Amino acid sequence: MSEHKTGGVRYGMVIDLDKCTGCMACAVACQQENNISFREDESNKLRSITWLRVFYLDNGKPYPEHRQAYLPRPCQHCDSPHDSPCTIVCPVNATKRDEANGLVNQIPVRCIGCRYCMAACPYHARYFNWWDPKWPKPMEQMLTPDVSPRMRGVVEKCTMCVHRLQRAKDKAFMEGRRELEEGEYVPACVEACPTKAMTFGNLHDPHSEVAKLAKSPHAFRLLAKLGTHPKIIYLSKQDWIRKQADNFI
Amino acid sequence: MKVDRRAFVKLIAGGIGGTLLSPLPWKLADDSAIWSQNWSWRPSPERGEATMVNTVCQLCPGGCGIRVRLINGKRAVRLDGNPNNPLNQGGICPLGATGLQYHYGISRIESPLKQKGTRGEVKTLEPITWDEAVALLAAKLKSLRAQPQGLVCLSGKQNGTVSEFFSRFLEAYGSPNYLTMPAAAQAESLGVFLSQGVRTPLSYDFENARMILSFGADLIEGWGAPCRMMSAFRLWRSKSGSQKTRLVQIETRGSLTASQADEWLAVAPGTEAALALGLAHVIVREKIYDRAFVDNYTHGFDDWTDSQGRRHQGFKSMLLEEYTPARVAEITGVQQEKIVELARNFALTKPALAVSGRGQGKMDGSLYEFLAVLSLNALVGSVHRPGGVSWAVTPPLAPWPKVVQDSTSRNGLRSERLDGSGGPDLPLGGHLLYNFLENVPKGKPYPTKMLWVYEANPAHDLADVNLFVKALEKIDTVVSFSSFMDETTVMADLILPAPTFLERFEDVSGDRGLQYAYFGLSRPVLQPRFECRHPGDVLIKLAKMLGGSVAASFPWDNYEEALQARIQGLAAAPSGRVADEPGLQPWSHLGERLAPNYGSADELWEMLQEHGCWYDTSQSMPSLSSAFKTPSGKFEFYCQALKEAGVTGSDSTYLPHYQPADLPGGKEEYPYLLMPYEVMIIENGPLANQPFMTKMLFDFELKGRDSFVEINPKTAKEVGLREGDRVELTTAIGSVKVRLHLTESARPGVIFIPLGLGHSAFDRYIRGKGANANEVLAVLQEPLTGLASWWGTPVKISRA
Amino acid sequence: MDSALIPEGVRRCSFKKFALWVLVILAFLGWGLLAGFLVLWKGLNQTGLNDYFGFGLWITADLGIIALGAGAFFTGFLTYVIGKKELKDIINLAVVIGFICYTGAQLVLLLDIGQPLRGWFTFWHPNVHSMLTEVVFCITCYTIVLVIEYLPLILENRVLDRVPEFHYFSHNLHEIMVVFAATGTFLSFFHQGSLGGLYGVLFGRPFAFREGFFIWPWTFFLFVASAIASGPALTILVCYLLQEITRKKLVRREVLSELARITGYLLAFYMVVKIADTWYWASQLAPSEGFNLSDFYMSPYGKWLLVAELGVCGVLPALMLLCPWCREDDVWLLTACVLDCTGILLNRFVFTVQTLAVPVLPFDQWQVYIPTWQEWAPTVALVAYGALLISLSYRYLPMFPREKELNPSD
Repeated sequence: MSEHKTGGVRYGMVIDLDKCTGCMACAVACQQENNISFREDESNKLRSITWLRVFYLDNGKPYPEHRQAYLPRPCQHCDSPHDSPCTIVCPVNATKRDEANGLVNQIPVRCIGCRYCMAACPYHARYFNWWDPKWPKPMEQMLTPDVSPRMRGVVEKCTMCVHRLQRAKDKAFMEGRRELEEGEYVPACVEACPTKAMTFGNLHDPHSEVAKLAKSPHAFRLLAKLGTHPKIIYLSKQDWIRKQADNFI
Repeated sequence: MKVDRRAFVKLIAGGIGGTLLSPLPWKLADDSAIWSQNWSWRPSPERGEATMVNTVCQLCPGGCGIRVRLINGKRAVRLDGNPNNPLNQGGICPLGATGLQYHYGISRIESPLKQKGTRGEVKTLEPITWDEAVALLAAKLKSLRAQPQGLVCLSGKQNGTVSEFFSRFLEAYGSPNYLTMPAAAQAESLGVFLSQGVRTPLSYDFENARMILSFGADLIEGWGAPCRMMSAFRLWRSKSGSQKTRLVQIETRGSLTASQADEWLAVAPGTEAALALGLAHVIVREKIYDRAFVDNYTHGFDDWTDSQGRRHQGFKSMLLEEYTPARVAEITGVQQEKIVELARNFALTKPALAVSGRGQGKMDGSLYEFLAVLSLNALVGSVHRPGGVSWAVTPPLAPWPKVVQDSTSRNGLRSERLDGSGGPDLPLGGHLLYNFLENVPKGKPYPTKMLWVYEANPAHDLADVNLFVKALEKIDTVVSFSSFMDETTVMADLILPAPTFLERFEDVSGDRGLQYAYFGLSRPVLQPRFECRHPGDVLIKLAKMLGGSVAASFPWDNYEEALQARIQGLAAAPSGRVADEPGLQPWSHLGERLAPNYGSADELWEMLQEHGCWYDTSQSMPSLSSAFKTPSGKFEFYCQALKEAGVTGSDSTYLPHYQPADLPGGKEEYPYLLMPYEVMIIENGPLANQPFMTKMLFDFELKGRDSFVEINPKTAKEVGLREGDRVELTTAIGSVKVRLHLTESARPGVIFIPLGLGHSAFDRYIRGKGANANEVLAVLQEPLTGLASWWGTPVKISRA
Repeated sequence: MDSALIPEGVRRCSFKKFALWVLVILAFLGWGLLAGFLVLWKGLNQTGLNDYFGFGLWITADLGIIALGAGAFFTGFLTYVIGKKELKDIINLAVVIGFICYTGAQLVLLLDIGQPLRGWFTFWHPNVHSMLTEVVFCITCYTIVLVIEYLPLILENRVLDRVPEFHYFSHNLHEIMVVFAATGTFLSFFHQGSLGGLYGVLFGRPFAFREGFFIWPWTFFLFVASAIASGPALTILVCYLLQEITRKKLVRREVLSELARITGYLLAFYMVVKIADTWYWASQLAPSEGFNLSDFYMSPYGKWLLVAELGVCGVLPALMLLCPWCREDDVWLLTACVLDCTGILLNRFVFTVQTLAVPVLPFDQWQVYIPTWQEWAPTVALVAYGALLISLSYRYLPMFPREKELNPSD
């Protein structure tokens, strides 16, 4: 777990890979929620912006012992002490971790596009705008005002739909509350998941669903050995999937 | 004044120094940075008040409850699942999540279009007014009225009131030729009819079953109502201990369902029926079948003697003789021990159910295979029992007044159907689209004058897709009721654009397999973007213009009124509720009566618009003693109804049995087998993948313009090909160019091709991506039923 | 035609010949400018870079030339601070090379960032924890130092020198050059180090990550060592090249030998620490993060890179430069210098590209980076820019104080 004091707010997510059907509704919902641009040909995966990318896993065994699984990968919102891999390297403070809630944010209008953060992130969670984002005219109508479209030449990434946190806080404030209840703030991907394989909440609240799930013996984190302290926790009862999480397990 | 060199240098130096000290450069730097942050070509979405409204998704027949986030009440910026909906429980599938790209898509049709040049040419499609379009169509219909059976309607929807509107119009007009696109529900309904005497699809109580045996149905990859299945999957995975639900997948391809199942049995292609009968053999041999059910409620289990004193073979002796584990193992490639073990598990875990229908269920399927799987359900007593299979439950909608007929329509309706369904060769009925397509070019039994296509894209979605294209050549007029410029619409002579699911009223009764009554109401949450009209309204208008009995059959002012009339039935029913709270679990209350939370039909209508759907659990499973409407009044393993329909043959004809498929093309020439597969992220239906979904395809599924087929590394090695190689696949009906993806999920010797890619119409974000599998997949019709039971086509592979 | 500008007492080729030479250089420069324009206009999609390879040829080139430009600060350090006066023969050349390398690198960097107009944000919103911030600040400051070091040489041009103010100014600059040499050494030391730190701090990238001393990972010190072990080698190479092209003797042979000797020791020192670091990394650090050495090397970035960098272009040239007869033989000396420089370029390439090619997620794929011509052109233009500046400086400035003495026939 992270070194930050317990009792505070540390938003995180638990993704149960045994419930994931790889339908990609999460990834599609993310694109709609965050005004992620698209191009006619997105088959070059090394230049395609998918804040939440779904990886394909298989157990490497021959037919019919072959098994496959999908691993949705939002930004891991690393909670490593002092700084996250990407935030420590940004020369212009365009990406920072909000220590009030642990979310790693990104300010595209401050980003100078040096891509040092992309080199730093082992999860490939950061995406560069290689082109001017352009929507066909009619589709500009479906852009949400909650998230500004980005411009060419800057890096963007999963924000855990932090605008929803702001919205939930505003609502709570209007209702005279200071604390958010569990489930009041949920990112778009979690909300969309048709098998509810994704659970979101405050990892530091011992009563939250995520905190309970995170304690499961089947829980693991991606590349835990690197000391990145991801706040995305995966669950699987299948050994071969858990083994893929880290070269070490 | 003379400026010497020194003064000049000083001037320059001073100038530079002065400028640097002035605010100018800093201001410029700042301004340029600000400019880079607000490029004028970067859209800035209009702000405003945000609201959430509920409706029901219509992008697939699933009928999920969705919520639309609106800005200023006129701009939709997000779709997500409605947590109050019992089907999807707040979840949404990728197609639903990408829904706004359909609504705001660039292949929307903006006004009625008339083909003024050659059919298929987009450039010569000319916009006309609605008045012109309807007048044109009405005139055509009037001129054809003498031979009304020449009008054919092809609907992509299996149910719903708009489909009923179309079939109603045909009935009033006088044509028996209402057809639907292929679907597993076809074989299912027929099988239920033959074994139980009622023509209806089945419902599957997945939520309450403890063991599920799936014969190739990709239950969590878009089968049935996709989100309902995924909710059920979550339920299976959430239960533990003795409550745990076990999923066993029987499939040739290592699909995701196979991977996520508790067990996957890889069967040889097309041998699911044999395996089902092998399992039945073990259950019968070991006497672990449900005695009470089999003895009391079934016919034809043991050998029996008919009223004429003829001795007939029963299901039991046929199983024991012909489907020994040894033989079944040989056919299916599944080990004998596995068969025995699985059979015991299935018989002893209660409740357990078996389900069939390959992929997402968008293929007709084989009657005998369905009967084999259904009889497995019967053997373990899972028919009309919780956790088993029963009949589809339909919401108690009020019927519309009877169609008014005149002599023309009566005559027309008496004519033979163009697909031969119900005729002497194909007495079992059903929608036999492929027969229709084969008959059209021959003008048999009479010429097809006009074809209407609604919510279907046969020019892309049908196997052996050229059959449709060829048939079109012989049809005088093709009318498309589509919202999008799909392949079929491009080939139409008249295009009557329909509003999208966010712009129109329509009901969705839930797709295949739901065990409680469900009625979803989709409503216009947005103003129509273009000059589009509800097909229901168009039909009413046409009827009025035709006058007479046709007009009398459509007594409403608009479709909304007709729909409201049917809601009266729901309002009058003693049980049922509008789903207005989260976490509803109707499957836990099967058979229970629900106190309505509305007082009148008007109130119900209002509430449906507000919340989206109505459901009822009270229509419990029929009682076994009176359920079966067969000649014996029992569940018939031995289908006497077949005999009554005039089908002749040996005893095995009337019993579920396995027969190897007679595939087109010789083994010599086409050494491999090509099988289609479906995944959720590739939309295989009347719609095509929008950019959000296409973006998520892996680069071993689609790269540039090339799509990939799955091939086992061993097979690839045999032919000397490697990952990513470009190849040409040739079958008896055509060839496509694709690339290879080597994967161990593919069975050696079989090549798997995804369905849903390779569009040539729509827009630049959709067209030209990959190959359309339907160009090489041949149709295999079951001789008895005429249903397209296709599942594989022999193929050869060569480097391209 | 331009004889008034040419230093007194030395001979230069005809203006026509020179103009033709400059035209060739300008062609390459123009090609680079065209590519640069395309990149600025259309964006970085013109390059072969992608989300896996955020850094590529340009960063490799930048790091490479900044390392090789270290000849300037190190020769300055030896000349002015340590007091190796004989190196004054070559110090001007070293400074010019340094100036070219640093300004060139910054020009290319301008192309490399996605939003060049916001480049100055690094000064305005600096993140003090970022190694890149340290790099940018140090490089900017050191470029100013280089300008100051280059300025007196420019002012010694025959025409400019006639202006009394310039004359005195440059004279006085010479007097205090030791201060700038020391400042330059300090700044250079830091940014060469922080360039190494750029990679060493990437704790998400086991190929690059190193533990270290205080806030500096070992790569910090390795980069300093490798820069000073290769910078003088480039100075020697350029000097030789210039002598070949001009067919003149510009620097005393013993000065080059002395520089080579020092380089030899430095390279040997660097190789010892680099091999120690590699051994510790391969045997302790990487395994503790779940990686074996073989996980890091796959075609085309195979183990040959390791052998080439440490063996052929590391240990071998070090031994050659330590060997007196080798240093005295022109061919051997040049071979050693070429290998030395290649080794350092390889090192920078490996840290830039291979770090990113190695998949860290076990289910991720090994990717290969192929630069486009739009990336090659500015890189080549960088060399052309160097050639242009050296050509102009050689022709019009008294770059080699002993040129007259060594070429009495002029």
